Amino acid sequence: MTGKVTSITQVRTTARRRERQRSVNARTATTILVVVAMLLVVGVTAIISASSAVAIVEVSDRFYFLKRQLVGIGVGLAAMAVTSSIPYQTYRRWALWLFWISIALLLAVLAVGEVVGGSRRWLDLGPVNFQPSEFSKFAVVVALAAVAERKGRLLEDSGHFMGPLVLLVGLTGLLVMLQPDLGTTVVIGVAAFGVLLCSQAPLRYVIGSGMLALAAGATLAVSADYRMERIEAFLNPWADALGSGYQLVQSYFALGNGGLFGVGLGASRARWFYLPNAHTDFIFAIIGEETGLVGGLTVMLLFTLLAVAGWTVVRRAPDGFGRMLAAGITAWLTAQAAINIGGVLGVLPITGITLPLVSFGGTSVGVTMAAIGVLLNVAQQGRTEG
Amino acid sequence: MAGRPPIRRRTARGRLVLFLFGLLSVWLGLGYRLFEVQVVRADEYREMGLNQRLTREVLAPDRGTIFDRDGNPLAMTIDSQTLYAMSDEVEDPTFVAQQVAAVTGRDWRALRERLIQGDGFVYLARQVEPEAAAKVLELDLAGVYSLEEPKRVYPQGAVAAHVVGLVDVDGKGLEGLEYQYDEILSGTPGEVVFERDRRGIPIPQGLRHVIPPVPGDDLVTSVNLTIQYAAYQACEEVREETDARACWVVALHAETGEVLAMAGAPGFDPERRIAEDGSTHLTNFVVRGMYEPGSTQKLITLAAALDTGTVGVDTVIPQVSDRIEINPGACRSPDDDIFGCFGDFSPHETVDMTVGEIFTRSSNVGTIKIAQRLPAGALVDYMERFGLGHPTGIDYSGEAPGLLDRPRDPHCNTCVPSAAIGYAVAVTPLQMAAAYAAIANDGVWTSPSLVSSRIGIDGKVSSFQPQTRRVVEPETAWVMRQLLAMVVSEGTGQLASIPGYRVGGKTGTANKLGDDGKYTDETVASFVGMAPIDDPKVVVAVVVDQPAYEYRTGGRAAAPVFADVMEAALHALGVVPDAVSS
Repeated sequence: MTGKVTSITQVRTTARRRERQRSVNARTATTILVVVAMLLVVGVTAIISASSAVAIVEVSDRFYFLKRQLVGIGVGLAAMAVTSSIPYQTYRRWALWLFWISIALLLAVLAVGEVVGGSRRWLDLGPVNFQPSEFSKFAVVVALAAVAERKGRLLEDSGHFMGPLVLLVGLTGLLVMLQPDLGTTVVIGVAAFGVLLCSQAPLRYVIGSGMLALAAGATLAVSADYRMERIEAFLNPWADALGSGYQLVQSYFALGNGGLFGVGLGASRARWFYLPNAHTDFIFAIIGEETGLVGGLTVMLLFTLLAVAGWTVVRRAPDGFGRMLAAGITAWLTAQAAINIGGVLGVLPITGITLPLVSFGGTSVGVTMAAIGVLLNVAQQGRTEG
Repeated sequence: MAGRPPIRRRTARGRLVLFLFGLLSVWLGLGYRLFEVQVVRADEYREMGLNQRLTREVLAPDRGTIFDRDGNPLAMTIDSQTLYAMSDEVEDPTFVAQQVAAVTGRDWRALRERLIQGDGFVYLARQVEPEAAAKVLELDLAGVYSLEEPKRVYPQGAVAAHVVGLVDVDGKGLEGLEYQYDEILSGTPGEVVFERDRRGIPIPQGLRHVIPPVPGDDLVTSVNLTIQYAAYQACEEVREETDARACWVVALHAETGEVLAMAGAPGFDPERRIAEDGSTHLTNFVVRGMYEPGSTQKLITLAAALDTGTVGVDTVIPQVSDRIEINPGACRSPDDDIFGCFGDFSPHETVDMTVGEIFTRSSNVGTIKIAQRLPAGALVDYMERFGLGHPTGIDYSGEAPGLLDRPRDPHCNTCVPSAAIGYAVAVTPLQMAAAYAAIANDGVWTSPSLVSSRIGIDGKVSSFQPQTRRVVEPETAWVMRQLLAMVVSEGTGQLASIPGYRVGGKTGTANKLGDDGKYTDETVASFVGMAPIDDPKVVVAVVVDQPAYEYRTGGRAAAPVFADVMEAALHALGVVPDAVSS
C-alpha cells in the first residue's frame, strides 16, 4: 500500500517536473526565436539603407539586395522549421556523411568556384550562389560531436583526441584556407573548441589544442602578404588611411557620426560609397551610424541573449551529443558575430565574414537559421540536470 | 568507482561556467569598445568624416549683357558645353580624336597628340554648342565627358568689336568695354558647400549651403547700331577703295558727348580673337591711336584767335604767300620743315586774304600768321581747353593722352607755328571729335562716354553723368560753324556734303613722319565735321591711314566716309532736313 502511495506521489512529482521542464524548454526556445526574429528585422532594415546606393548604381534597383535577402530568409525559415522538427539524435547516423559532403563541396569550390575579391568561395548554381564553407561549419560541429560522443572517455588518450581533431577540423580548415578564407577557418576552430569543451576530453588537451590552433592561425595570418597587410591596417589604420586602412577608418567615421543615438534610419553617410561592403561585412557600422551606441549595444545584447540561451541549451541537453552540438553551434554563432563586430570596431583584423542573421548573404542566413533549428530541437528535449 | 561521477559532474559544471564566462566576456569587451568609438572618440571621427564629405563648388555668375542704345545685344553669354577627356581612361586616342574632330571640326591630329601627351584632364573642344556635345557623348567614348561652360558671343561680330572688345576663353574681359567694365559685368561668384558621396555627387540627406552667385549688371551703351554698322561699312569700303592701311570713325552725339558709333577697319572677330587681316592687332585707334592732325587742328587755332578777339572773321591778313619762314633761310635748308619753313598744299600767288578765306582754303601760311598774332601761350592754352594733351575721360581702357610737349617748350620757336597747323602735336581721333563737338555744342566741351547706364539684377538703372566745361563763347562757336559749312560748300571738303542737310567740317592731310624722322609723302587723311550746321546733332571724325597717293588728302579719302556715316546718323536719329535752297 505504502509502495503504491509512494508511487503515486512519485508519478505526480515526475509529472510536475516534466511540466516544469517543458515550460523552461519553451521559454528557452521562445527566447531564441525572438532574438533571431529581432536580428533578422535589424538586418533587413539595415540592408535597405546600406545597400540602396550601391544597388541603384549597379543594378538600377534600390531594393535588389533586400529582395535577395528576403529570399534567403524565406529559405532559412523553411530550413529552420525542418531542422527544429528533426530529432537531433538523427544526425549521429548522418554525421560522417554530412562531413564528407562538406569536404566534397569544398573541393568542388576549389575546382570550379567563382573568384570574388581574390578568393574562391562561391559555387555558381545558376540563379543562386552557394557558399560551401558556411555549410562546413555545421558539418564539422555535427561530425566532431558525434565522434567525440562515440569515443567518450577514450578522448583522455591523446591519440584518440588528436585523430578526429586533425581529420575533421584540420582537413576542413585546410580546404577553407586554400580558398583562402581565414575568418571562416577561425570560426570553425572556435566552434570545434566549443564542442571539445563539452566533451569528455581533458581540459588541458582542449585548451592546449586551442592554443596550438591560435598559434597556427597567427602563423597563417602573417604568412600571406595580403593578410599581413590586413594585420598592419588593423594595428594602425591611420598609417594608410586611403589604402589598406581605408575600410576601418571609414568604419570609425560611420560609428563616430552615429554617436549616442544615431543619425536616423536611412541617413547614413557611409553608405554613399565611402564604406566598402557596407551591406555585408560592415553592416554593423551602418547600424551604429544610423541608430548610434543605443542601436549597436542592442545588437550586442541580442547576440549575448542568444549566447546565454545557447548556453542554457547546452546545460540542459539530455545527452553528450546534444550538449556538444549545442555548444558547437553557440560557439560558432558567438565567434562569428564577435569576429565580425571586432573587425568593424578595430579590435580584431578584418577577416571578411558576415554578421550572422544581419549581414546580407543568402547562404549565410540559410545555414545559420538551419543551425539554429538544430539548437531549437536540442532545447525542446532539455531536462533538468541530475 | 562510486566517487567518480560527482567529480566528473563538478568538472562538467566548471567547464560550463568557463563556457558562459567566455561568451559573456567577449560581449562585454566589444560593448566597451563600441562605447569608446561611438562616445569617447565620436566627435573626432564625426569631424573627420564630415571633412571628407564636404566640398565646395564655385557657382559662376552670369556675365552681364552689353546692349546698344536701343536694346540690341552687342555682347551676350549663352550656354555651351566643353568636351574634355580623362586621358588615362581613353582606350584608343586615335579613334576618340577622329570621332570628336568629326563632330566639332577640330583637327584630329592635334587632339590625338593632346590625348597621348596629356596626363589626366585634357580639353577636347571648349565651348561647343550643346547639340554637338550631345552628339559626341552619344558615341559613348570611354573617358570622354562634358561640362557646362558658358560662352561669350558677339551678335554683331566685327562691326561692334572695337566698342565691346572681347573676353578670354575663361570669360575674363581682355579689351574694350569687356575689360573696362569687367568687374561690373562679371558679378560675384557664388558658392555651394555640400556633402558629396564618393563619386562627387551630392548626398540627398547631406548638408547643403548655397550662396547664390550675383549676376553681373547689364550695360546699356550709347551706341546706335545703325550708325555703328554704317561706320564699319564705310571704313571697310574706303580701305578697299583707297588701299589704306586702316580707317577709323567715331560719331559723337553733339550735346551729350555720347559715342554713337566707334568703328575701325580692319576689324576683328571678337569670338575667334583674331583680326581680319590675320594679325592679333586688336587695339582701338580711335581711343588709343595718336597722329598729327594736320589742318583739322586749324579749327582750334582760329577759334582761339576769334575768342580772344585777336582777329575777326573778316580781318584781312595781308601778303599771304605760299611759303613762310620762321627762322631766316629755313626754306633753303634741305630739312626745311624742321627749321621752320612752312608751305601751302598747292602753290599760289601772294594775296591778301580774310581770316574766313584762310580757313576755308586751309591756308597754312595764313593760319600761322594768325597764330603769330595770338598772345604767347594762348594757342596751347586753347588746345588744352579743347581737350588735347589729356585723356578725354571716356570709359574705355587705355586711352592715350596725346602730346602737347613741343608747343609747350619755350625753347622751340617753330613748334607753336607747327601746332597752329596741326604738326608737332599728337591727338587721338576721339580728342578731335570731342573738340569739334565743343563747337557744335555752342562752345561747351563734354567728355565723351560709351556706357549710358547699367542695369542691376534688381532692375535698378544707374546713369553716368558726363563732365562739361565752357571752352569758347557761343558767338565764337557760331562763327566757326559758319566757316566749317563754307569748307564743305565751297572749300576743300565738298565731298562731305549730304543732300538735304547743311554740313560743316574740316579736312586734314598730315604727312607722316618716316622712320628717319623726316616727313614722307604718306599721309594721314582726316575729316571732322558736324550736321546740321545750325543746330548740330552729330559730330563725326574720320581718320584714314595711308591711303593711296591719288586719295591722299582728307577731302578725297576721308570726306566721303564722313558723308556716308553722317547721312546714316541723321536718318537714324530722325533729324529733320534743312530747308536747303540750292
